Amino acid sequence: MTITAADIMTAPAVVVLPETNMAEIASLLASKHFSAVPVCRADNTLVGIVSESDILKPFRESVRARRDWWLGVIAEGEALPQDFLDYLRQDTRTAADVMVRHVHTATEGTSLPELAEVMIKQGIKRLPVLRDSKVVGVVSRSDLVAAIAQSPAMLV
Amino acid sequence: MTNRKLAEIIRRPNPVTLPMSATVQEACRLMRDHRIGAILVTEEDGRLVGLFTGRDAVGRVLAEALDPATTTLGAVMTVQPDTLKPTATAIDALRMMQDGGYRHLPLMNGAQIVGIVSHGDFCGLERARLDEETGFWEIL
Repeated sequence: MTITAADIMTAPAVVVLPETNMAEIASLLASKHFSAVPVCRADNTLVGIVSESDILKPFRESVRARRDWWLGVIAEGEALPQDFLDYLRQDTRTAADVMVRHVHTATEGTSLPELAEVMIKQGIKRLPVLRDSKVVGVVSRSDLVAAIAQSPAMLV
Repeated sequence: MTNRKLAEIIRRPNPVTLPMSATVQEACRLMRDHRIGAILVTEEDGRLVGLFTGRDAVGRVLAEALDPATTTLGAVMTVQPDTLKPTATAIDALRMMQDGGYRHLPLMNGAQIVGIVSHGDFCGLERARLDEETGFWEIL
């Protein structure tokens, strides 16, 4: 028996609503150690995905102005600093404003080599798993590593 | 604080190592059990010869339909990875990761392995993909 996305995905998936604000998303990504989170309507229909870089993109210009502050934030290695959270709290954007709408996805029957290929080709670490356009789980790179550790004979 | 030395950042003083003859499956078991993203590959005398990451397991083994139970690390590892001294700074490491396109850096005192730092050691969210923001690096 070949194992598929359904066997290794994290379910139910952690998702956010389109109206979720930046500070909430930032806290979620940091506390769960996620690089991105799917954006879903209340019925779990996928509408986009928000990653760390989507949140930070608009700060590109302010980064130049606040070099020392950003350097400290990056190099310090602490949990989310308070001043960064305060900064994001002034941010009125929502998930719907910053999300990427074209999302690479898998289905429950997607094989592990197929999941691996999409992740490598697209340079991503997390794939939402869909059933009828609804998110039923997420497969991450670490789920694939765990699958290899578990039962390599059934991977392909 | 941006001049923090890497020696202060190392969270795992005894990094996980395997020989070149170990299999990809063994490496993945260690990465899963220790919740780490990379394994240092060493010779019997402890000399560093390679680096194998979770990304390699996905891209060089699973995506290529190789058998993780028989594929050895020697066949798919990154040979002689770049390294840094523990006296280097966090910014030195982030710069090297940016330039080299990798996320893990072994720390060496001469021929002796003293640790490994990963991109994730520097911060949570804000470690920020900022390294992908070209404008950011232009001002460093």
